Amino acid sequence: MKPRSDSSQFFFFLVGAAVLTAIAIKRLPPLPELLHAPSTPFDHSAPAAAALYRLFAEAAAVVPAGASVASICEPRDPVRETLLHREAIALLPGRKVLAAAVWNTPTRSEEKADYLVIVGPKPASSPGRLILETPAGSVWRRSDR
Amino acid sequence: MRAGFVWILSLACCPLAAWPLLAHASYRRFSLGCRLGLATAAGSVLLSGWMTLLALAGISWRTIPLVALAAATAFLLRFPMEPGEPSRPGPARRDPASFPEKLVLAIAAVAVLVALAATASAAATSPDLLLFWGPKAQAFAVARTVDASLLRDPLLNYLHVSYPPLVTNLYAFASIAAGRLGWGAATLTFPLCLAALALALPGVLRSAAPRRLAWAASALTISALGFLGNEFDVAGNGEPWLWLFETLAMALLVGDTGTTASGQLLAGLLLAGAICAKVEGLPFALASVALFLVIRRKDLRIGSAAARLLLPGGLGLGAWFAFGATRHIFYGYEQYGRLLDIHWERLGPVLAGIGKYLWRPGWALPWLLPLAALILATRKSRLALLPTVVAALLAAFFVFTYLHSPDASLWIEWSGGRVFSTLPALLAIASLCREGDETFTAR
Repeated sequence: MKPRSDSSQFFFFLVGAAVLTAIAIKRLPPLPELLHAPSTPFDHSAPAAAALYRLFAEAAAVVPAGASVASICEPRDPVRETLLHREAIALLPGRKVLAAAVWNTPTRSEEKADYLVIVGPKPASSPGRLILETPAGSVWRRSDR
Repeated sequence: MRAGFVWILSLACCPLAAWPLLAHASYRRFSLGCRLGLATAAGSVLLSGWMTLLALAGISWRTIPLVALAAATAFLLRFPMEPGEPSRPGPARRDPASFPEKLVLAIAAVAVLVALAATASAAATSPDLLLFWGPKAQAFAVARTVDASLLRDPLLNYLHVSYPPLVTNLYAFASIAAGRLGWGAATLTFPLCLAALALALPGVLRSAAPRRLAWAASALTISALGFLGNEFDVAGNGEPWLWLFETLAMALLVGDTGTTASGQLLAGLLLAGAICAKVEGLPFALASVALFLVIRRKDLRIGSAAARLLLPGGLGLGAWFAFGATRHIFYGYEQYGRLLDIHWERLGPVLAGIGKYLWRPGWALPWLLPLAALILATRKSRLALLPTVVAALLAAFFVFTYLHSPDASLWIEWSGGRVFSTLPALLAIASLCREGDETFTAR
């Protein structure tokens, strides 16, 4: 026979574990989405990041290794472009990734890039030859390179 | 897809590397599953440690020699075991598990599966994987060493150049094996670490408490960590590794294994893992060892116990800082402000902000339930002070750190829940420390 305090402590642990696990199950994505392989690691945790992930993943297929590339957004925003540079560093390995903005300050380094990844709508004036377009943005080969 | 499979499967080298140590007779008190979980944790420390040492020596990383070096080290670590240390038998209590005991094991297993489902459906991924851990790991894998040129680039100093290397080392190891970083595979380290913890923790806690309580406390710990991992999006981050190291190290220190050379050696490796996984692992390790030596001083030879517990971590962190210093990149951790330049006027908003982010995931239940278990536990022993005071010191350390910022609200929003996520495990372990329960291995 177990001491009474043992039993009450045991059942407290058991019920606590069951409650936390039940809440965790309740907060899972719906079953159809669980059974469907996500297209990016961020599909449900950060849908905005997922769209950018897809754009950069597709850009990686058209921007050759060793080329210089910068990521900007339309309309231009140095705060957002600081973050875009960091995402490009992660998702465009093997390329020379130039920062259009650092710590929320524009650098204008994108002017030296062979390729531009533009997040958002296409710019009013074409920065070069359009080589990829997705709902999240576009990839351009600079015409003067 | 294939690269992702190879990436995650390559981490099986972790338990493989540490198996020569865990196969020692001193560890046969633990079940096979428990030793597998412990070997996963210890092997990751040995692998990463060798990667740092080779980077320091300027030698390129190769996967097979790395595993061989780690396994050879694990084998050599068998020798410092005290010759007279009994090769304790496995648990003598072989009576079948009751239905409630099976139920708690099942709940822990379901918690791991829920974490796997959340991660596999891309619902628990940390943005830091993309902004921090991943870019470093993939650059290290390409360079086949710690890439000093990457860390030296002033445009990339957001990568926290001095951050301890274990997680990036392991991701680089897997990326070398797979040929590239598997972003989705890297997120699976969250359920993987949780599964290793679920395998090891019940057995380790049996050296501190009766079987049914050890298993039930493990289930609560796994459920709480799994829940918090899903809520705070830790997949791909350093937290799951930190949970694995810190929880198992503390469980060893409060059990009767903590007074043996083999237990201290293993705990030392796990503390080294905590130190080398995340910055907050260092205060955890220092506080844990100091309190352990004070509280259990009558059962220990202080000098040799301190050496076993601190040398692995000292070596790991020392190698990392030596790498930074010899490459003129860093000479210690980045500062979050001058030590005593504290914004005391922000104490109220900082505490309110922390409270808000602890309340948000399930009304703070992951913290309140283990805390209630600790408060309600009867016959608490002095050993309960070890995890309890460490938890309190860690909480104070986090508040102290946030007070260095004139406005830490964004910082707390982004990190508050995650840094406090180790506390439920410590509180659950503390609730098991009771008078008269010091020796349970033979039950």
